[in-house]
Amino acid sequence: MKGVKAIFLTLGLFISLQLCVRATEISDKQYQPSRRSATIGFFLEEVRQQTGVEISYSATSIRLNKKVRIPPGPLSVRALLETILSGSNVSITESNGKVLIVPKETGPAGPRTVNGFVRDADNKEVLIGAHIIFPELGQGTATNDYGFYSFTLPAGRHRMLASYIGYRTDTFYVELKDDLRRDILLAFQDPLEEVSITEKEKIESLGDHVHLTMEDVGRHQALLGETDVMRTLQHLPGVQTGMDGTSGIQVRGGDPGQNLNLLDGSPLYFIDHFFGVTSVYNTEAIKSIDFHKGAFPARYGGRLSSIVDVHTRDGDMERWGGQFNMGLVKSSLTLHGPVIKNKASVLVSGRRTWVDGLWRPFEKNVALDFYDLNIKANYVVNKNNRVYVSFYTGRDQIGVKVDLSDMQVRWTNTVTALKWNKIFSPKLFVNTTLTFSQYQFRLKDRRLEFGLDTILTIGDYNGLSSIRDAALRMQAHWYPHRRHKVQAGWSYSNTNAVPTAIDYQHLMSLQGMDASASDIHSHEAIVFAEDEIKISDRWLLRAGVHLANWFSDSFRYSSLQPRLYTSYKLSEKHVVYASYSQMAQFLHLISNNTFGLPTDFWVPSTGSIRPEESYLGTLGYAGNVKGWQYNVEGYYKESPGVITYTSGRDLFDNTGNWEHKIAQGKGWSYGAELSLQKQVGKFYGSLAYTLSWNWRQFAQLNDGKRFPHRYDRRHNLKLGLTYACSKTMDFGANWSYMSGEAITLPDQIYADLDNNLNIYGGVGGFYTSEFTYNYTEWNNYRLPAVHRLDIGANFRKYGRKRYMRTWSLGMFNVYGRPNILFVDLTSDEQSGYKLSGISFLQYIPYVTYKMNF
Amino acid sequence: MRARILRIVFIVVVVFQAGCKPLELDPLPAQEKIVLLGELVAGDTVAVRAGKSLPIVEEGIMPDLPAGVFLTIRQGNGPEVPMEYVEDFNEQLLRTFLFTAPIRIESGSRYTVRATHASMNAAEAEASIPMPFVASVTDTVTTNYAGNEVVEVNVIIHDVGAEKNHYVVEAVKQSVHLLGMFEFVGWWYDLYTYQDLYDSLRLAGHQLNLETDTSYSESLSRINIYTNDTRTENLRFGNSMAANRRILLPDANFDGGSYRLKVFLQKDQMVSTNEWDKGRVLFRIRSVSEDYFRYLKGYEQKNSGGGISSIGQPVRLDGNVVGGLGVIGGVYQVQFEYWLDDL
Repeated sequence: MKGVKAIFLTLGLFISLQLCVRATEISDKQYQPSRRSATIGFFLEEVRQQTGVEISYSATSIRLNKKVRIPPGPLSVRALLETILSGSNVSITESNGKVLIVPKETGPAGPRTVNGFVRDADNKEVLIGAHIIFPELGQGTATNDYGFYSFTLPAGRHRMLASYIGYRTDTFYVELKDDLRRDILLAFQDPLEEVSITEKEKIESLGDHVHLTMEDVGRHQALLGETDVMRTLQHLPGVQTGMDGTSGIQVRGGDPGQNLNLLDGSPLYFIDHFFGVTSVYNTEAIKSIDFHKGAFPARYGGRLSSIVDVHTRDGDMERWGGQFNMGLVKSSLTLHGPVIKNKASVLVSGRRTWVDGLWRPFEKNVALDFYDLNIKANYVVNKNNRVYVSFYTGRDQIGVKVDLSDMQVRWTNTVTALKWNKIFSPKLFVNTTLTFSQYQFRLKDRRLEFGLDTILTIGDYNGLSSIRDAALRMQAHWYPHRRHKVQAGWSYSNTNAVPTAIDYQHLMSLQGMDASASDIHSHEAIVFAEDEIKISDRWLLRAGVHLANWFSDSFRYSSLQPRLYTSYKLSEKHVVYASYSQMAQFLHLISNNTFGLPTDFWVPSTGSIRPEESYLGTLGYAGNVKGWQYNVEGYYKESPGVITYTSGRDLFDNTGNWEHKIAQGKGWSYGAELSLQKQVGKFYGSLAYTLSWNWRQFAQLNDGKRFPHRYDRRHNLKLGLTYACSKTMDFGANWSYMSGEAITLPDQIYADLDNNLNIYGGVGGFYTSEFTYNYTEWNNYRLPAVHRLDIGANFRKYGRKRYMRTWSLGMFNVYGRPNILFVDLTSDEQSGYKLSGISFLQYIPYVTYKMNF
Repeated sequence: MRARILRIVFIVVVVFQAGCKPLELDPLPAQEKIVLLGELVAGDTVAVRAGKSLPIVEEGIMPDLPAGVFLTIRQGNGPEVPMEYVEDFNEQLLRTFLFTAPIRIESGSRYTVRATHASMNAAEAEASIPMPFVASVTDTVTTNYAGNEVVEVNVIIHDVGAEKNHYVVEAVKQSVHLLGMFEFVGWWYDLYTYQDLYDSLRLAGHQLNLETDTSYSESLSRINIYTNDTRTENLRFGNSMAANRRILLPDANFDGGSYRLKVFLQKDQMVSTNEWDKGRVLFRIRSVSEDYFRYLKGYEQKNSGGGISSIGQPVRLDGNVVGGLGVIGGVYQVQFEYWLDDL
């Protein structure tokens, strides 16, 4: 606790100092006029030169050549402006370190609304999170998840800027006599093209969430060259991986199951492919990612730690194109194009492992593969209506046939979403979504016996764990005033969970067994509302509430979750922010590892398993000084109701009484995070550091005493460096360091009870001496720190039009650090006992080939 | 430029590689402790085993036997009675010594076993012996269960209402040998070894004096036991298809009345055609002390496969040996025998 207090005190002190420094209004600055009579334009220019105060105005609202006379002697900037502009229909305000002269909103020419979509000029796909700015007003907005914006401002002529990361900023004027629909096209910017200093020095993030594009994803090398969304998130402060080399994430002390993984708004319950080498998010099909680890907007709920909101590409509205990708493990093909030009488009992207094809001709008894398929279609019905249909299915499988045994394990995800966007008015945008998501884990084990001339099936074991939900959601974006952005909506979902079910047939004895845990049928009803209020040009407040109800015939839980976020811009380059979020989780992933082995099960809240909850507070500061983008943030999170196994078997041992194997306790974590980015010429560097503590406490474990969470890593540091030599070549390196994880090891071993009662394992008089492990405390042993360096290079060759080939080469864990993945304590009656760490992800090279067309 | 970058990368790799060696895992801080293991069964004499623990280090060796360990037993507040070390063939295998005392354990009593050693802390365990109870077995039939041919046993336990009783049901097989001996010219020969001599002497018309002796093996073989009774602890942490060592019934199920429990014993482990494995099945219904029941609950959950992995969920066994490790259980048992082998 001392650590967290120190962090918050330091941050608080720092922010207070910043606020004190900037308390004086800039228009109070004194001005000594050189003459008493001159044009308005002369005085405005002289004030700027003499005091350094920037004054923004629209030439259409002021007569600059009008001669005016002012009183003698020095006067404040405000007094001067009020004098020379008296009689003009304008008001004087301050915003972001500037004095703004804007037309008054009163009178017959009242406020007007400009709205529309921001799209990529090339393929007409909408851009999420693009900024719309009115420089003279010092205000603006951003596009929502569907590329829509709406902003209300005084009637008249206004300069308007539209910008998006990686695109050229577009500047133009709009004449607002009436409400105006203005769709904007932004052109992609060459990565090596110079960006103006002023653009680069603006602060990009207000600390509430991280918006990632595919350019960000491509910066990070990954195991076997599989660039991946989840691996990119691992490079953010506050996010860490579980087992080194895998793609799962753990956010601010949370478990992997406490992340809400969304694919076009549909929840995904299993995100690993190939034991975590890559995730189910197909990079070729993705447009952008919104990642929230605090300051959760009211529309999100159902998980405690983070929201990974992945938006897939819509498909090119102009022409057909695609991408082919060949890696060491899998290959993929993506095709997209217009079905009706500028009206309807479709995207199809599929991936499949190919390495299994190499051994299949020789070894048919081992199956190890995965595939997935993304399909998305959208249709612009008219300028106010658009519909989307997206579909995802994916499957991982392991199968082994050995002698008389035939075992197969399969993980299957299927997700479908149907969306309807409607612009009801320039100020009201509504999205309605119908989703279906299903995850199934199947374990088949068939034992065989050979008869005289046939094969007899002796035992047929089928284990199943599944979760399925269907949901209808409606979300309204209402922009009533330029200082208010309201989001409100509701959702209803119907969830069917089968934590474990076992079907066992034994042919010889003609005996069957159905040991199913009963299906748990639950409903969730949610309403939410939130208003993002610009209290002043500097101060933003987002207040919301999320009310969730989880119920069935036998239980009912209700959770009212307030959400609050506020930011205060100290200047164009500095912002302080704070947030408080309360979350609740009704579906729980019970897991004892982080890379998707069969011991991961989704279980719902029931009459005896209450929801998990979290209370998260954050305080942060973000700035941009001379191109150094930085962010410091402290957090404290409490999570009552966190879930774990009570003892040593997975739920497949335990069908009817699975609830008895689950313990609920509390978790809490706190820490500080720092991120730093800088572009220097062709170099781009980044740093993300997290200092954190993460605790758990369960009445049934460790004598009820607190113990560190397995992934209580004190230090987590990620460094990245990219060098883009030219348009055709770039190099990158990433170095990561994490404190070792905490695991539970026995402090000693001793003789076995049964053996000492002269009882041995089986008939036959075979003496198998065993030993008992004496566990004293939970997570009492620290593994060595994990660190490694990954390097990579991309070589591109451009052809005609959009044709491009890319070769990517690299190496994972260049210096071969033997990071420990497992610990094993093996006993050998001859030589004794050995505590050993198992590591195998060293010096792993990769090469991938990508072709865009 | 490109060459310079490659040179830098190469140097970085070499520097890191030079400083990199296989990771050593630190040992856990732990002291050797006296280990006590055994049961004090009402009506039996005292037999307890004592050894020492092995702290986990990166690479350890098997624990030495703790020469110089000294044990006593005390009934209630009575005098301490020294226990006697008895050499047995199992001690090297089990790394524990056998200690006995000529005391017959009485139900309803409390016993304290104390062990001391020159270089280790003293260890002490206290066990209360449950009061007698009545149990019966009915309707024993052969059937199929969980893919196995099993012997279904229906048990009725008549609980002692006034006290806390935790019940344990288990089955073990004890090898029994009928040893035939014949006498010839004043010497006794065992029939199994000298069957040819016996046959030839009989053919030659000799009248031989033949006697048989029954010997019971000291070691017992565990028989897998199943249940589908949801009130057992076994179905709280396992399922009805899982084989168990013991069936555990907590006190919460009992209120002084009768309790019916159905269990299934794996038949192929009860029957043998091998001469040396033939014997009797001991079906035990036991009332055990609370500490012992808690230890057995953990013991039943732990994976008997050996080894440990950091991805596994640990099971903690809480014994009742203060200052040491292990458990001394208090037991009152009702035992039934099944003879399924042709001896």
